[in-house]
Amino acid sequence: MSSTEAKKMVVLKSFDGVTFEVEESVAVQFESIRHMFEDNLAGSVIPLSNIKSEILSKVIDYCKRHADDTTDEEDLKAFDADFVKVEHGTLFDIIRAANYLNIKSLLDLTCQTVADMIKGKTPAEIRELFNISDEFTPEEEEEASIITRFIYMDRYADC
Amino acid sequence: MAPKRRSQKLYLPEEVWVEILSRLPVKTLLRFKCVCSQWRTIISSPSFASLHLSHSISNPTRHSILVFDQYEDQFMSFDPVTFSPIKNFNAGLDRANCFGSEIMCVGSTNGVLCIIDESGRIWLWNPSTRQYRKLPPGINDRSTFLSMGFGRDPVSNDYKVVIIGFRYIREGEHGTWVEVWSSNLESWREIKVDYCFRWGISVCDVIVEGSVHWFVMDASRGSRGRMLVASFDMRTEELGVIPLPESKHNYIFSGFNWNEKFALTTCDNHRKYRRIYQVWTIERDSVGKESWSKKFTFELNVGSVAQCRSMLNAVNGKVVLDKSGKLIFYDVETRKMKTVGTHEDEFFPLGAYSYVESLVSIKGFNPLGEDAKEDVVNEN
Repeated sequence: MSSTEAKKMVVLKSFDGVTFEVEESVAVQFESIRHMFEDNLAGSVIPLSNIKSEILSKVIDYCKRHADDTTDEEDLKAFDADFVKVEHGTLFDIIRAANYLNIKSLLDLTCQTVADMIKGKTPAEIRELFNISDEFTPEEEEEASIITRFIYMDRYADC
Repeated sequence: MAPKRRSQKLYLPEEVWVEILSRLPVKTLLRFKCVCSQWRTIISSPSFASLHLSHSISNPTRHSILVFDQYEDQFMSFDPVTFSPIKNFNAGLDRANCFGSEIMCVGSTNGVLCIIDESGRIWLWNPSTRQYRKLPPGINDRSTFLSMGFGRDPVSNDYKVVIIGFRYIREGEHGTWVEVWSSNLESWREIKVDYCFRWGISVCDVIVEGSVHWFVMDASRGSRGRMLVASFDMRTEELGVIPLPESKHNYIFSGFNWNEKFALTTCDNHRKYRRIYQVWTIERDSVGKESWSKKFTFELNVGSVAQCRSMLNAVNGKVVLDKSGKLIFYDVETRKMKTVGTHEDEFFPLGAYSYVESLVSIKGFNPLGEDAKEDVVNEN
């Protein structure tokens, strides 16, 4: 870092009351709250009442790493790959935070992770994993059975 | 109906599920329609199909090169990077059930193919979702067709099929007709044009975003049968022409889509083993005037003297040539070349197309396949 002048800081407060001091150059990645610190509210605390400190700390880590121009592409890829190696609950918390704060690159990374995770699963496995009930109307049930037949044809054709 | 009892811990807002699902392959999404009604509603919506398409276009693994094999009467699919055949592209299974004989592919855009059979019946078909529709008969007689095109008006998201044909006026005098089918209007209508063409090279066209192109011969008085490139703008429905570039190469090889521009290759001598190809694109200047610009040259050693007949297409810089029942793939950038096909397994390719899988659905689409056919009959 070359700059010696005092860096502008932004203070964020998590759901469980923990405050984080973040450089503005990192916090600019939080698209949805950008206006709050850019509107010259220096020093005031921005409450993030739906993000836990554990998650906010991870999200800030991610943004710090991505704000650092000195990190090379390969290292960043390795960091990203490691970053999403967390249990499902944590991953979903991060996604919700990324969605709330509108951090595009983090949302892309985590959505792709979930997409890769569910790609090979059957509908029953998905319902089980996300605890979804599968209530369909009779018409929907009928269409679902047609779709299932198509999948069956697919498997047959692949042989 | 919203899914019940979803665990709070693994809850995600609908817009996030949309983001996640839009990154999945079509096959997976069709399967996931049975997860719950929320997912089904998401996956079935046209706005989701557009989002999914934009992800698919930017994802190289969703792309393939389709080659229509006339001998087997089916499509073969190849990986656009390795040029290896993709085994699970089972479009052949579908078409056996529903299309007529001696089919040809008019074009491929956004995962939808346009197919015509020998008697002039036309279908639009999404092989990934197995949905298709037949088009009503056109206005003019099939025997007067010169060439066809298939593309999309990006402004109104209207998929259009365009046919150009010739009309006998009197001894020694012909006119040209153009008719267009629009997926939004679900009907054909005739477009008035002042040009007069004698013939088109083939049924196939070159699609670039928003327009289609053909090679045609100018049949207007005093033209001495010069070759032109005719283009049809899918949005304005205007037909335009541009004469071929002046090149010392006199053999025009093929037209293709090069980075969303119409490009053509000229060849120095098509009887040689080692050929030099020049690639030209149509560029527009600031006032919209079109002219040819020579882009680059590449050399290709096509091997034995066996007839290397034609370039079938070039898909994003991947050139596909037809050489007596074999296919030659050549990547202009990496200079990688691969020949596919053996004596036991020959191709009689008719055309090569860039294909990207999609959920795109067109008004009037129905499921394809025997099971689905029976369902339709039972319903009626």
